[in-house]
Amino acid sequence: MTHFTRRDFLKVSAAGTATAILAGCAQETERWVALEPYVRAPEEQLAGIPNWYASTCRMCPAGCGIIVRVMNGRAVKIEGNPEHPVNRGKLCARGQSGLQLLYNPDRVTGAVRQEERGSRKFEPIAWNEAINALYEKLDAAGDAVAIWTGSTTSGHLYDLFARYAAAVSAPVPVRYDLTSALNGVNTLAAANDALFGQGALPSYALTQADVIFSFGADFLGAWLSATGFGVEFGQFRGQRFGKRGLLVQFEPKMTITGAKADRWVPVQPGAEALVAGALLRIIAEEGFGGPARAEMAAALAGAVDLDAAAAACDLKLADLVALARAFAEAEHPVAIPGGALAGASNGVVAVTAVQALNALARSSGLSFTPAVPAALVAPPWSSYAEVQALVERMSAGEVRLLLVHGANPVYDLPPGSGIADALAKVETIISFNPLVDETSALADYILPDRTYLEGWGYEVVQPAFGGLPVVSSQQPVVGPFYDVRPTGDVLLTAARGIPAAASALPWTDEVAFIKEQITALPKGANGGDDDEVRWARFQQYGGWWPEAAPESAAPELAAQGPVEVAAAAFDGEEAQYPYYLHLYPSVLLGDGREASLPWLQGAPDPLTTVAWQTWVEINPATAQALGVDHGDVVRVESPHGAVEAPVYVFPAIRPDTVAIPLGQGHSDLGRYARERGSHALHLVGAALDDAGANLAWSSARVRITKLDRKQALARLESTIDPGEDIHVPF
Amino acid sequence: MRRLASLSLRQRLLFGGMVLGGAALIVILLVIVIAQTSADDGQPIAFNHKIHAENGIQCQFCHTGVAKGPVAGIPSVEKCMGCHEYIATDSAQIQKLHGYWEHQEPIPWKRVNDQPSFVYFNHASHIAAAVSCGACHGAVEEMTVAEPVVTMNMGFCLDCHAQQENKDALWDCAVCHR
Repeated sequence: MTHFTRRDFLKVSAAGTATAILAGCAQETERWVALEPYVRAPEEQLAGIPNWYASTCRMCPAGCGIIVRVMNGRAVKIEGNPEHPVNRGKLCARGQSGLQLLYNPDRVTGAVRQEERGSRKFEPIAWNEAINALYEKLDAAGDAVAIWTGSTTSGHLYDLFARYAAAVSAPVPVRYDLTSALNGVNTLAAANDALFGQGALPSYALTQADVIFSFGADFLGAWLSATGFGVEFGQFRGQRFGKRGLLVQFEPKMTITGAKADRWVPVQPGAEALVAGALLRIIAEEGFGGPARAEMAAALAGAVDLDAAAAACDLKLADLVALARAFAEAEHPVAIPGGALAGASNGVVAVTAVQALNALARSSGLSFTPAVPAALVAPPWSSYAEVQALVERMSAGEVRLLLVHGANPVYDLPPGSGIADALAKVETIISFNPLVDETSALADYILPDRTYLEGWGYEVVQPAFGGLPVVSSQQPVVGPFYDVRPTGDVLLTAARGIPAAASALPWTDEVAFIKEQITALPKGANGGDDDEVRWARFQQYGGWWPEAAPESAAPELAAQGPVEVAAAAFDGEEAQYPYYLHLYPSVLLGDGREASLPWLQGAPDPLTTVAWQTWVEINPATAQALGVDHGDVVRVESPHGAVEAPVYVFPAIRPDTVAIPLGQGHSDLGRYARERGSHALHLVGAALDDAGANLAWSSARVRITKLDRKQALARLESTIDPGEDIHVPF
Repeated sequence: MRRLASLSLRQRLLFGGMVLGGAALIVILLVIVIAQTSADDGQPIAFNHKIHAENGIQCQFCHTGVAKGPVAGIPSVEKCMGCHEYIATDSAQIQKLHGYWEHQEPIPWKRVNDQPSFVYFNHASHIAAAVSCGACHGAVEEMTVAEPVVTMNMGFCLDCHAQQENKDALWDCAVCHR
């Protein structure tokens, strides 16, 4: 058909398109939403009118309030709860994507048994058989049971697990996952304990602040409670009389918070402590901010080489002095430590040095979430040292039964921790996770819990905002999709047969337990004079919080003497491994638990616009020196391991640093996560930080080798074109 | 069609065949589409509206949402069984209903009347304005299986809106396209 012209082609294709469109119309279900009438209509459901249910988000541990739109018994949209004191009506992309956990096609649809660990041949079993198995294993294990919980384990379930463990004299449940390490919760708590005598997560009053110095804390992206901070940041930027506050971000690689900052200071990894210490020293020496602040600074400032500190941020000393002055002379200055700085080998010292800046302006800035006036407390996070102790007990065969809920130890720990070998020594592993993750793949049984949109719970929020203690409520917004049982009920049923535990766990089901806890709270902002009303209001409004923040004094400085700082140590000789490795949690996938949700996989990373994969961020100058460009696959090697990923040339990173987002590289967790990207935690050793309690996950150096292949980056745009005269701030 | 004339016989046949084949496909599909918009075949149970109306059952007894919200609603199987547990149990159609109830399955009714998703339509405001069901749905009480006897296009809506007292407000595009 050599003479088939363009016009002829168009004619034929027009006819083809018309037939295709008509064929599409003929499919009735495609044209119209299929009718799905009820077999039994629930009383509260009316066709065409949505019901909204208040609950708590469990995509990360922040504890934001959500409201879920339910049409005809189907959850169709999640929004932020406008009444909730944490997120005040806002919700992040991860929270919005919770629907895809509920509707995930790879959910475990009922109780299963796996004959051979890792075979992934799961054989369905009846629930009474599953619960009986749990009972028998618990009975046989006695106090040799270990419970491992994580970020997405509801507070009530942790409390039930903790009561069980106490009843059978087993160790306290471990609450640790990659999120807790990346948030640096233990480092923060340790630093606050050293400075203020309160080992809790801090709250920062951003609404009143006029200057914020953030040291690596991506508090608008992936750190602690980003949505709550985001609301406060909006108020920080829009204060009265046009005042908009000043944000200075110190970090080696730009985060979304750095992109929003008025000044971005690319500090050398591990030198944040030095810079914070230098700021204190300058304020003390120059007497900035009045005698009271200068005196306080003098008491806290250690010996610091100011020139070295300025050099570590590529600033002139005069610039650092100007920054110190801006901070000290502000009415309400706030300093926020977080991110990779908490994962450095000097993590606790670095965080302490930054928190010490908050001590200058004592009445503003930092506070601690007041306790809830009842027996309810936020479950404590475990330190990495406690995790190591458990891994050692498992390796020694002292753990006969391991229960895992809301955590994925095989993925969450670096391989050097020995977790895989330790799990092999455990007689029985039971996972309660809704998807087959890397740990469930090694489990003998999976007794899937309901997802958070189908289940009950509560969460004592830590940190909360505005000085309000908050207990957030979680209730089923839809009926369970599959034959899955709430883990609380499964545990209570199994524990009934165990004499030591039966009296400690007398509740008929988990709802009875939750109700008992909640009705013990006094009357809060949502009212309710008797128990039933208070319980109903707890669900209706999405939680309990008091009408006004309780009186609380500004945290008193408990520490005496200066905070002595030192630069962090890194694994690997500089000659062999020339670059710092900067790992960071993905704003979308978090620590990797959200990799199973295609909405979040497909959403572009806010800084690089890359989706669906792992990439290595390299400064243009470094890329030029290495002879690599966008999409060139490189091998990133540390003393502990290696990963391969394509390069993204990124101007907002130091030339001596390469950054890799975490979250991908799953071998399980469903079709959207599996075999996609690489898990950069494999580059990290399992060493503890100087304080001997936390994983030093940000302490590796790497070398980069160009491989002879390319992998296209799924990105919406590139910040620089080849040959463009780029602006690099170094 | 000089260009067509320049084609060889084989090319002409091939091209003509493609065009004819396409046209034939369009005709066949149109017939299928037209046939499908009539809801009469394909309803899982040949529900008889007439017999229910004759027995004095109001529309709202089953289509409960009509005065309360945008959607009139299809009754649940439970509602049907409320009467048909005992009434007309020997009818073949009612036995089908019993089958759905026994398996606790919803009845996959086919839609008879619909508006596209870019039209906002609310039953409740029409009922509140005393528009009878039959004004839009025809004499359903005379039908056995419900038929889409009225073409519910934009002209049909506007004909009625134009006759209302507050017709200026009801003539606004954003009343329905919002």
